[in-house]
Amino acid sequence: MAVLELHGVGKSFGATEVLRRLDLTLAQGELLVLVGPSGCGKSTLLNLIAGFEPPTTGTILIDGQDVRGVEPSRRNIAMVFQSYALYPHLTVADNLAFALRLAGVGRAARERAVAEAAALLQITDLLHRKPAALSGGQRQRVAMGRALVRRPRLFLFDEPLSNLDARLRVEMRTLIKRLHQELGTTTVYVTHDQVEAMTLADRVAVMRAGVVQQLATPEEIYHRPATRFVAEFIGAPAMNLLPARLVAVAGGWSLVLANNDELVRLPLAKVAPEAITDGERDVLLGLRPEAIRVVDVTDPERHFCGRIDLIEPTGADTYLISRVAGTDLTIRAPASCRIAAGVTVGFAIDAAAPHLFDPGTGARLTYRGGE
Amino acid sequence: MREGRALMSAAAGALRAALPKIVLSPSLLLLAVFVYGFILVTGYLSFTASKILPVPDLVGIDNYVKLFQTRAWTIALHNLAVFGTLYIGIGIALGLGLAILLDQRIRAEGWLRPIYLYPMALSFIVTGTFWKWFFDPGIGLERALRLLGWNDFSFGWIKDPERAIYTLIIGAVWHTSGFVMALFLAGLRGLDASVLRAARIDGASGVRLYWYIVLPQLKPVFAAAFVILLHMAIKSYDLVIALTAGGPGRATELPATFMYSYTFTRNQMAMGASAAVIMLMTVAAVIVPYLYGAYRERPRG
Repeated sequence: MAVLELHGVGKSFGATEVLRRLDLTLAQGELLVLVGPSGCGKSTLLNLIAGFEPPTTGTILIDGQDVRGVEPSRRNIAMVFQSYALYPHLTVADNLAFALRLAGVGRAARERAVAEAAALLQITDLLHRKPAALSGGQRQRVAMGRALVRRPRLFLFDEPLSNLDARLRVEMRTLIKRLHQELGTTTVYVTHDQVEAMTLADRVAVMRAGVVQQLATPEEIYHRPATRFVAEFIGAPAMNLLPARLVAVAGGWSLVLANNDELVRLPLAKVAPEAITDGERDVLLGLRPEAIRVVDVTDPERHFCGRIDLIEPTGADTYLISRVAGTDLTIRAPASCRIAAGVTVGFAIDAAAPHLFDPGTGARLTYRGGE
Repeated sequence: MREGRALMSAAAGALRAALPKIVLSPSLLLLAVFVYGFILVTGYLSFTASKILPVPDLVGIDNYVKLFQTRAWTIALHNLAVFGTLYIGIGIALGLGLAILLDQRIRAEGWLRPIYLYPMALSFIVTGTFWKWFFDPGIGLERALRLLGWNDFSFGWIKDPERAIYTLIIGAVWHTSGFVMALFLAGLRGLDASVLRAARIDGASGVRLYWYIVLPQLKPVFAAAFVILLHMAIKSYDLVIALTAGGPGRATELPATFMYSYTFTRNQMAMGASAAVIMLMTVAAVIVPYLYGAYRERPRG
């Protein structure tokens, strides 16, 4: 049974529409990540689910029950906040036990629940401390412990790792994933970090300006982004987008790139865009950095050339930046790559499935054979 | 020529280094003489046999012994206990209540807040004078209600030795509660909104939210409000002079009015000085630990 259902949920503040009629169903145990830039409405959506604000339109069902007008505390949810939101005047143990105390749970049962959650999060040593005496990572663990203690039907995470430094963030991400695997609690997780979205999610909802651009598994989002926005937002470094022209050639289609002074023709084997009705058209060619290879020998029919302007070694990979067709192209090369800046090289693209987007609407152009 | 320039720049450097000291020294000097110097002089006077004029002959703690044997002083202390307790208690309760009401995101907040704050802008003399008129049976509330037809209404607290102290409390609370409200409102607005949201999810709403989550976090505001109101209570002078002049009888005599009258009108300067020293000690006993706590906590962040 679905733990969370949203039917046509929208939210406006005055004349400003921050969330536009949204439908969503979350199955038991699923972890959904809402990801998008700030102001995309993801936190607003979380506030609607938690019950801090009523939706302007639509219905929210938790466990099949319409929660309109139901207090946050009666929705069987727990939430972890970006600022941790610990009660500063209470010890860690009292922070964890607060909800149970208000619910009238007996002392013994309370202590048992707190001890259990503390053990799971390895904060048993901190139970007698006040939040002010904890580090950021420890506070976040306590905040998660407070949510765990309640054994809710639904976890809500509001950018829980944004205030942590990079190393802790990775550590806590792993912890959240492990806890989710162990407990299997249905979760809605809001973040603006696409790496968190990809690593944690069963499904990702990429949001922009109050609209879900794509709702799919991380693989689907990465390999078949539905819009240009999703393509650029997910993946680091971002997908390269090159203006190109799609032309019909004998036996298929070819992409023509205006690269500096030369015109490059890239044959698209087996590709027959459905979206093309009147033959030639302009497209945006989307190339992930790993879909481009540096080649020694250039064949003008299949490769294009570029001068390597910058080299960014990251340890595991080395990124090459080259100005091609008016944009900075990023190419992922192995760390062993020994190319020097200033050298002109040839690039081959993995022509099996290039992403094509409509330059006007940003929508993905689907085509037979590419699938 | 070159030497002259070097000399000039050396002088300018020295001036720059000394400038903070030069700028600060007049106020430091004034402070040293007129505050701390006079405190020391008062302390010294309290151990002398000064009457109408200061005399240097030391008499030990005689004045303090005499002070606590003086009925007017013990009455003043008793009045201060009543006045201080109720003034601080009601002031904080009312200020907190107003702040909580005003914190409910009401539309009129923008112009309600200054209205509550304005009394603080008046001097205690003004406050005392118009509350005196208000309480005066001949011209104030009693007369107004009788003119409206409530003929047997009587409200004579200000003339009643048992009740006059309460008129003082009403005037003082009216004067200060808006300020206390502002303190609490700032405290409420400074609370982390997500902590309140977390508490709502955990099941604390309405009264329980305030009792378990909001008020405990306002402890520093309570402390600040307490200290401010306490020292205002101890040094209360102008309000008493304007409102009741310490009367009827000694019903509203406070340590500050006692100190003034013994020093300057009853020719008992040494006793007045010892009363002043006792008041200073009382204020210091509260403020020193408070400041110590406040400054010690700061580096911890």
